[in-house]
Amino acid sequence: MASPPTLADAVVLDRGGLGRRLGDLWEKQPCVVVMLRHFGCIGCDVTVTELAPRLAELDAAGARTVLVGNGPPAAIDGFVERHALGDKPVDVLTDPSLAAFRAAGLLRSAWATFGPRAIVDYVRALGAGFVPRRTEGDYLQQGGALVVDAGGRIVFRHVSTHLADHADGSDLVDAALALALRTSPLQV
Amino acid sequence: MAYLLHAANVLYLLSYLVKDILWLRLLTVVAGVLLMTWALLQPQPLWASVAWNALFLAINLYQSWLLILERRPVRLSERETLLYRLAFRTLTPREFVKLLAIGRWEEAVADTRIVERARGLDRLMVIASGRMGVKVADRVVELGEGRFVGEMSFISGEAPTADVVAIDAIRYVSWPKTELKTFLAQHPPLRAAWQAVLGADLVSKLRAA
Repeated sequence: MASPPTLADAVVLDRGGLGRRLGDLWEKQPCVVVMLRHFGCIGCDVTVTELAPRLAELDAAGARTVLVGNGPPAAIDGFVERHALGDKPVDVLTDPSLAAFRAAGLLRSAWATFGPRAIVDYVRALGAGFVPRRTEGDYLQQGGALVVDAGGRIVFRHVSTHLADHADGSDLVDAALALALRTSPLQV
Repeated sequence: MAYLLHAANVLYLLSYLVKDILWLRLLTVVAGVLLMTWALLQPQPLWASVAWNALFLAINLYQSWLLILERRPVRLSERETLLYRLAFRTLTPREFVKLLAIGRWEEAVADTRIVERARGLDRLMVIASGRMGVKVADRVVELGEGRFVGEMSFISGEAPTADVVAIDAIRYVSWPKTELKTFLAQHPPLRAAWQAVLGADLVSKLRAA
């Protein structure tokens, strides 16, 4: 499905607060956009910890990976440092306006944040050694993931329905590899 | 008889102190047996305690058995070892064995057509010995030992766009696509490891094309 213009036109901010159009990210190459919740979210820590070892594979498949949180730009550096993302092939941006989240059709819900599934997620994350942190952004906003090709078509979409619900890294890699294959004249 | 109860509780205490889950379970099994014996030897046997401990015992024995199976050393045959070294070093030997269990070793003589262009491919292969050739327009791209054949259509679901023939007498492992996908879906960590192997091969092919 084609990405809606509102998604491509949504403006996301880098660590310095400089805005850029989301659609520019997939103008030249396929893009894996992982929408996080706020930067202190324990569920997002789980998401990024699971995704981090797959970033090199996504990069090798020719996909650009972008993490989009919704906290203030000043929170990006701490998030990058906490997850040791500095030397990894990934951009971390933020969308405090939540325009990109809305355009991507992601949920903003108290039930998803505080409901029973969220509580189970929270306890599991604690059990796995993750530590809750100060809220840095909109705590009701849920995340998701999109894989968008260089023409702006969404080839994979995951809408998180509760706190730590996230796209499987293997599904993202599969989608990126399938896109890489599209450009190949030879398929065996 | 109270010594049975004390011995059981000392073993429970020890089980809480060990870090290895197998030892924890085995100590619990022995403690459970002692506790059941103590309960049975009471003037009025404590059947409720015996029943619950029997259940715990069965669960712990079963889980211990699974752990022991999982920890047994993996022995690979010569050809398996060679293939492992060629293409699957990022998998653990046990993961590799699991994968091989759903695949099949096959052989073909030189000039055999292994993949037919535009015809749906229902399997994925890896070359263990010999070479295959991918016929592209007027040239043949050689694929040697440890290279995959069919991974592109495995990922994209599209029919192959080229013929593949055996250049030499070849030996390869072949996995039925549907079974492999089902198996990988049931084993997420293995799916990730497998994807890394396949992705690396695929990316190198795309770069070479």
